[in-house]
Amino acid sequence: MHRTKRDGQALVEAMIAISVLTVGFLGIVTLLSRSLSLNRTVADQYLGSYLAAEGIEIVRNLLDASIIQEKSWWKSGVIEGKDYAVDYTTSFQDGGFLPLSTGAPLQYNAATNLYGYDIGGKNTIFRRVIRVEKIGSDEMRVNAVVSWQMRGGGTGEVDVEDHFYNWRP
Amino acid sequence: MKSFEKKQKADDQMVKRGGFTLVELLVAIGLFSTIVTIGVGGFARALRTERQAAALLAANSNISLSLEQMAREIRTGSDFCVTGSSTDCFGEPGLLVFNNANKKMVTYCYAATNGIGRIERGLGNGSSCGSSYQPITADNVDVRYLTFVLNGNMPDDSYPPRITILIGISPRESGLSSTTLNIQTTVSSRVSDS
Repeated sequence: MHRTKRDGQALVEAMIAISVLTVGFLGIVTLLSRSLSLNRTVADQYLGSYLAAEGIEIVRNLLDASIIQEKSWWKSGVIEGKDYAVDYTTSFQDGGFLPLSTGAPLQYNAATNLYGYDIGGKNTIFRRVIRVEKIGSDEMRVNAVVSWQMRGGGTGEVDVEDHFYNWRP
Repeated sequence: MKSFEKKQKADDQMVKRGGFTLVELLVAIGLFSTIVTIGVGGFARALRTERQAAALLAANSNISLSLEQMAREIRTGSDFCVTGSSTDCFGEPGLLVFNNANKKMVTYCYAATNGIGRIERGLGNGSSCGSSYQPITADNVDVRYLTFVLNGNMPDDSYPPRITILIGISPRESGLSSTTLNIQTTVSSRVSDS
């Protein structure tokens, strides 16, 4: 009787100890495998920041173009407070308007390696909107916001802000 | 009677000194080896991940520097491939020829040597690309492609030159060489041509 009791206790103890260890190790392993997906997150953030910078540069280009075309620092057809969608080919539409954002994501064309709208490529995870606001008679604030769904949940966002002034050399 | 008690005592002692049974030993060794396998595998993967993350970071900072250098010179540059087609300079893909702020003709181009793609910079119209031009990317990053797309580079189009730079990079690290990061950014020249 005595013998049976002692042996059983040893086995249960061992199994509990091992299962506690297993749970601990599993936690560490999960943490490590998550760091692998972090690589992807870093790459997405890197690309997102370049796409946001591109948005600002295109607006800068359009601002300079409006000076060339109308001798005014901003086209009258652009209304502040709206979300615009511009890509590398965007020019002013009739009446000096810019294309409004439809909420559609940027596309990527694997043949030409271009990111843009209506370029015959696949949708990416990136959405880019341009917000324009006149915050003074001679100052304009432009935000290029790139947002995307991160792998494993959550939303990534890069918001690049630039201020343009009614001044040219 | 006395000898029986003695025998009983000896039996008890034997029970106390008894070791594990074979089944117990097998179970213990099995569990132990499973856990050690999981643990060692996890740590090996952690080391690999750490190396890959470092390689990715190095490649990113490398291209970041090259892009910044190109963007700076393009912003203050003028006369972007006006003689060529609207997308490529002199019919060559992966080549951008323009005059920089010092009115020197500068070329950025793509050249692959020894299986590693690089971005190169040099003076002139790009004819020495791949031979005497200086690479501006390091050996730890493999540039897969470099493309320039030009908009508004003609003198009478009422837009300043808009140069879109497309770069594909792969870190030179085992397990990562098949992943290409496709980067795009656009630079608008501050020098108006119209």
